[in-house]
Amino acid sequence: MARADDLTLDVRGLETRFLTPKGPISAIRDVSIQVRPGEIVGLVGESGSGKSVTGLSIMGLIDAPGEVVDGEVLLNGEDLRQISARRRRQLRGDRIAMVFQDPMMTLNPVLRIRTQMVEAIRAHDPKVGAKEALRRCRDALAQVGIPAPEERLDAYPHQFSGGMRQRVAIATAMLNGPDLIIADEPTTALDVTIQAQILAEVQTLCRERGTALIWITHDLSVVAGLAERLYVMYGGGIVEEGPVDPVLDHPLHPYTDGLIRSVPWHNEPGRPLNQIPGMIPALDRMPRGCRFHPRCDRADEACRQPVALREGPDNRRVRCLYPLGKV
Amino acid sequence: MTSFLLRRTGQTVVALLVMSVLVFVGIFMVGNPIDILIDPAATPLERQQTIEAFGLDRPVWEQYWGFLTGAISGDLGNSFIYNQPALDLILARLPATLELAFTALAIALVFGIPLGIVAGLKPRAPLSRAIMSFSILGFSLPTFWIGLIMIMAFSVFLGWLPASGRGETVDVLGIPISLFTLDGILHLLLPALNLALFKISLVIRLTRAGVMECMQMDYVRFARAKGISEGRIVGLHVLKNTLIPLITVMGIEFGSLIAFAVVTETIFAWPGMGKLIIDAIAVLDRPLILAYLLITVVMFSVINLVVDLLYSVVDPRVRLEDQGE
Amino acid sequence: MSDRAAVPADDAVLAPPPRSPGRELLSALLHDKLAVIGLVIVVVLTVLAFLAPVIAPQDPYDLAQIDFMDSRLPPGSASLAGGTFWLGTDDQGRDLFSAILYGLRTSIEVGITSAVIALVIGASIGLASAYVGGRTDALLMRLVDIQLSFPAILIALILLAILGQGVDKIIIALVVTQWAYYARTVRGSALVERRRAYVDAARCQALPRRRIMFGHILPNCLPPLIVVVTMRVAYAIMLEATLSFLGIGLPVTEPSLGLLISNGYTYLLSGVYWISIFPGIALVLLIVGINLVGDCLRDLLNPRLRR
Repeated sequence: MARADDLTLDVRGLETRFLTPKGPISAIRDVSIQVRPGEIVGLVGESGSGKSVTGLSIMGLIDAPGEVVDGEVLLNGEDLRQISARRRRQLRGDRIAMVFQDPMMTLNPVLRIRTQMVEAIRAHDPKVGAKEALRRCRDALAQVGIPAPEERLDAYPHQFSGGMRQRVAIATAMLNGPDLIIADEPTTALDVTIQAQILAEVQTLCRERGTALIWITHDLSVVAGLAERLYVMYGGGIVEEGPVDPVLDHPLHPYTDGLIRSVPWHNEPGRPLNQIPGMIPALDRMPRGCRFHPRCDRADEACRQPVALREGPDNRRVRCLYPLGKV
Repeated sequence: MTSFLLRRTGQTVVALLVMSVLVFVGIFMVGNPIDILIDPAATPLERQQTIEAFGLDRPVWEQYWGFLTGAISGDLGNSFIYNQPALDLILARLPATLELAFTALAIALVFGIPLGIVAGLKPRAPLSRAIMSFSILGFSLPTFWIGLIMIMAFSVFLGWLPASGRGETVDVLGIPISLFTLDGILHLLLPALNLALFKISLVIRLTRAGVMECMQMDYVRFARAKGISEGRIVGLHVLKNTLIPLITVMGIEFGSLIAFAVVTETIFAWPGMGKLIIDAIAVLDRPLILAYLLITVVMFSVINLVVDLLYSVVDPRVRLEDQGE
Repeated sequence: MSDRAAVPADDAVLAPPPRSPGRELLSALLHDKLAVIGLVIVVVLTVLAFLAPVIAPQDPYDLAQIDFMDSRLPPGSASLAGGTFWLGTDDQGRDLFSAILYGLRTSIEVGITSAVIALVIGASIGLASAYVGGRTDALLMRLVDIQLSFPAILIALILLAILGQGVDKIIIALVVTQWAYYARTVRGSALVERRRAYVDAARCQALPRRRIMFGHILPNCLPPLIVVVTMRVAYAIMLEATLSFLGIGLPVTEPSLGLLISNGYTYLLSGVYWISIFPGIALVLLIVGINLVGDCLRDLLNPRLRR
């Protein structure tokens, strides 16, 4: 793995807790993610695995009663957890941007698109003139495939379809040419065809501009065609990481394997779908040791002890005592 | 837009008709104003003459028809007590009431919105809890009693503010306004504050609820992710969304301010139409009661219209034409 | 379903163990300091008010027991009959403490009676409206909207102008001003409940409509209704006092806090403060108490704020 200062994002040992009536509960623990400049990384897991919390924690957008309690979030070598709130605000939307899941909710319903885009520019550079700012907004909209961007700027969000809104959100995130975009299931709420279009557009844009991307999703088929590297989350922690193809073809972690076998791949019709027995345990009932062991057929007593992340071939890592392949 | 206005006017006319019939028949059935109008010592002949002069001997529908034809030409009949056109009496006192209600509304918004925002941003902070406790108190203090206390405190005890009357006014376009003289403002202060107190609590609660809800919305998160300052998020993104329910409720509440002015005007001897109507009710002065009601209905319709217009300005999702039903 | 029972979803885990909803509510209520204060105030005032004939030094509305010579005595004065007027007397020579207790009783009676009647009428209309739906529903709700667009005090003023004074009259006026709130609240929750599976299940058993409405849907509409009832009782008490203060509510022969305050108003500027102040404090305490409880209930029963 490259040295820290060559990385766009270097997250180490991130832990986020939520205060509940029953006491603090960790939603994510010991999460480490590295993203190289221009790299597209997939973050995959079921709902409740902590992938959205990871995204929000990196951005510093965890609301009370949640709190990031441990770890480093180095963006271009600068620890987002150590810098002032002011500096953090300067970086957000400028060097690191985020797109959210529900396109119906991410745009403010009572403000024009123009207002919501221009403010993203002005928040980071108040000196940009009105004309220049509008020109940049127009270009950004055109780049994500919005027809007649000039007129659309004056529209309100409710005048757009879901797919168009998500395009606007992506255009807004890209306005200041950030080094990294975190996309939290941005296409999940959309039709499959629109999803495919947006995926293709985002991929092209990131390639052209050298923007790194973390794509959070529960859908393996999305990352398969999009990402270069993959992080698989389970129960608030990362269980496996590595380049996409080897991970998908020969998963090391039993959970990754179960996840892959439960996806209906179209090239294998007739194959019975696999089910992982049981459910993700609630956060306050996480088992000790490997969090997957109660659902795992390979588990034994040793899995009740904390399991370290082990290095595997091809820059892969897995958090399992009995991986499916050679480590 | 034109069809919207036409429909609204039509609705108002229907409301006026229904209201006038209900009240006309209601008052006709229960009370006989004649006993109050006529000197008990009057001779039967005098009594008969008065009854005929007011047309009180005719059947109710005939009386109503007479009222209606008069009303169309702008004549709502003469007040039994003042023996002047009821409409003129009401209209002469309308500006004072409106001034009181508007000032109270302004006070409620100026104090209520900022306090509500503070309480909504940090619901668990001690300051927010204090604000909410204050608002419960504001809900619970009867307007009339707190008015007395205010007079006691600020007029009798401290001697800072006048306790009654309207003070010096300046005519603006022929309408007397007290906001332009110091004396006028001093006289307005206590009654307006008295009337506003209940509404301050209401505005605080609405604003707080709106802010709390909006702060959890994804668009606030997205705005934060864009690096927008917290001040702009609250002042623009959240506030504009909070204003939408606030405007609707305030429209209705403005009507209630005008109605509740009855109480404040009685206590502070404010020469508005509220005091007039209380006296009219006591003696069953039918034309005056009717005139007051009809004016109120018209005013409420205008308020509703203004609210809808404001609404469509603040909330782009609302189109006036769409809200027919 | 059996799966869910074995491994509860996230929010179910955080919820307290199931108890009867009423008890759970009460215990939550008792954990809120302000609500406890409110509850204590309301209970104490209610007990005092209903024991008024027993504990009040005199019956202030029995002409034989009051002496005009005692009028407007300041707090702590001795009466001609030998007792002490701890809160002073009013302009009729009534012991204020006694008059306040009797007045509180009227306030509570009027407030609760009107709320209960309005509740029965409003809830039935709301329930029927939601259950029948269609044009009836539209018509009824239009009526509710129109009614609610007029301030309660205005409606009460007009009604009392027509009806005249009296305890029954003011209860009628308060019922008319209140029913629409209950109708709207019940209809709102009933519309949600009607689509639930248990209503379909009850229908499949061919239960009579009335039984489904009152036996199945209504109990599930209770939480918001409880909040509205508390807040409305407080408002009804305040409105009654206001109307009586204006001289169009209760007749002078009835004990009423509003009338007492109104009487005192005449003498306020001449330094006779107690006739208005003490009844006012009693009234405010009662309303604050109810509202404190209601406010806490609102937070507890609001599903949105529950998390």
